[in-house]
Amino acid sequence: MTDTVESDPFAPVRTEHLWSAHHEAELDPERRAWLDDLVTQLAEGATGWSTTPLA
Amino acid sequence: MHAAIVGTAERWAKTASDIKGLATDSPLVGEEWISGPYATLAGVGALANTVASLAGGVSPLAKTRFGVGPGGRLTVPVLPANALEWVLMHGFSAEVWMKPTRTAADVRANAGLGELTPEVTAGVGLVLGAGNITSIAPLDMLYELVANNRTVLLKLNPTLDPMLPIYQEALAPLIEFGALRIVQGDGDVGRYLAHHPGISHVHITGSAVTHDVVVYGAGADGAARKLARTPLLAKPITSELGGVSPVVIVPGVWTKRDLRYQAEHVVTQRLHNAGSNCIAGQVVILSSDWPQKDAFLAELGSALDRAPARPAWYPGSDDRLSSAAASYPDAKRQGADGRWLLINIHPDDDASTLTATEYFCPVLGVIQVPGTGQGFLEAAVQTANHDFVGTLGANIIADPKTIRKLGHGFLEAIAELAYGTIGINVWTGLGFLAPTARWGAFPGATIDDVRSGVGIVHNALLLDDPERTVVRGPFRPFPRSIAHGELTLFPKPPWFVSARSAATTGRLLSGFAAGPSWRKLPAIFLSAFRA
Repeated sequence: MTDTVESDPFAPVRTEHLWSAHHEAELDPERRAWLDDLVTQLAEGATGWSTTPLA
Repeated sequence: MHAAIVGTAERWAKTASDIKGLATDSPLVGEEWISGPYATLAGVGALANTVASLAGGVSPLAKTRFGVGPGGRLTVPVLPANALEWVLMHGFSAEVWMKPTRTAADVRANAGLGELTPEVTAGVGLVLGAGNITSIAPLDMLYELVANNRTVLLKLNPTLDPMLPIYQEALAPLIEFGALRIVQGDGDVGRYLAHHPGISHVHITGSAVTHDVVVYGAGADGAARKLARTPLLAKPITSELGGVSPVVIVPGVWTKRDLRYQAEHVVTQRLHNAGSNCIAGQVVILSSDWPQKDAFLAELGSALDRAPARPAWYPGSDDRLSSAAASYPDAKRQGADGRWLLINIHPDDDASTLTATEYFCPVLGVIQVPGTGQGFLEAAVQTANHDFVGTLGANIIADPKTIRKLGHGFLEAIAELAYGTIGINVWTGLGFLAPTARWGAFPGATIDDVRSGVGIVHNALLLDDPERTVVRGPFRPFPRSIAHGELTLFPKPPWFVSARSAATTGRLLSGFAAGPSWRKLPAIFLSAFRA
């Protein structure tokens, strides 16, 4: 298997360009801050939602 | 949530059809209704019933009458779930098989999963959405939320980016509730989030290659980490990853119309969604001793030629088909524009590339195994278990007389077939659509040897650690079913690629899933009978 699209139907570009071995992505600080904020919002939601009926 | 999804349904089906290059008036739009709004509405409805039952202190299995399967396995009937479904899906059924050691009391007591302790949060889960079917990401998200008590950050596969506004609107109640956020992005976003300290779990529907990149990293470094079993990802991950699905044709005495109908059935399993399904039937296993083998092969070719043309929309599809053609130079181009590939492998030739490569495009292969009756069935099961990549789904087509003749041996062979969903006379795709069915790989994979994945989704009864799903359908459509002694009333299924009324039926089915009612059935039947 390779990392190219030919072997990976869910990654239509070369995956090494998308998913490097380093944890720190090439995301710009603004984008990272936005994602961090979403995770924080969901962490807050995680402590509140589960006691309320979904229906 | 139902109301929010219903409000988007038309645009949902239209957007999905546009992504896939389907003309507005194409019957194939039915696929997008059924695998989009319908599947999502049915999933939400079934989960809501379970949650409501548990909230009232009642097990979702309180009224369930268990069965007993091979090896003493407890079996849980999940389709039809009620009288309406019994009529709507007449002749179809599904059951979930529990692992052999489970007892009725234990299964009943543990049904509910995270909803048994809703006050205990499991943090924030990242769902890396699939790129091929529009209900997969919402259903994966719902399972994280309800079964596992995790709020969800859903990252869309870029292939389905145009679905973002639809999802945001359809799932708005969960977003407003603080339980869901949806983002777009390439692998850099996925990587950042997967390793984010605020994310407690990752779920991915995709390919084994992508899974391994998430877990171990890419390139040579990733390969080395996998070899050393030292993952980069320092948190649990579950997955649904596809594979090469077999379609076992059990020899019997078939009529000309049986041969034609079942050939269409097999072609549907391959061509649905232009072949880009994790559960697509890819390799037919025929008996080399079946007197009707050549007649069936001829019908397969004809069914491919008759199938409506459609774009090979998924990225890389044409390249993968070319790769298959290069591996098998004798393969035959089929279909009006020659875009389907039929690979008929001689018993003495090597089928290993075909059985080890998930093509995810319109490549259909045929291999042959000797024998008749039980001997053939057991040989076919062994071939599938040992030679085929993946364990997500397997299909068996056998006429009722042959099944009766095989008796208990037939069920024993099913038990030996190590797949997460097994379809008997029905495409395993029905197992995907049935919200109460367990969906995922056969148990036993690990992140080091992930095959078709680890963990399950759907499972709307919230069964604890089920083994597999077995779905059954009628061998013949109504009215031929009755003429041959099968008491079923279902015509040609609307998911068949040859179903002319699929778009209308899919739309009506979505309306039914939004609010099941006896009054909605006549219109559905009228449309379905025009297929």
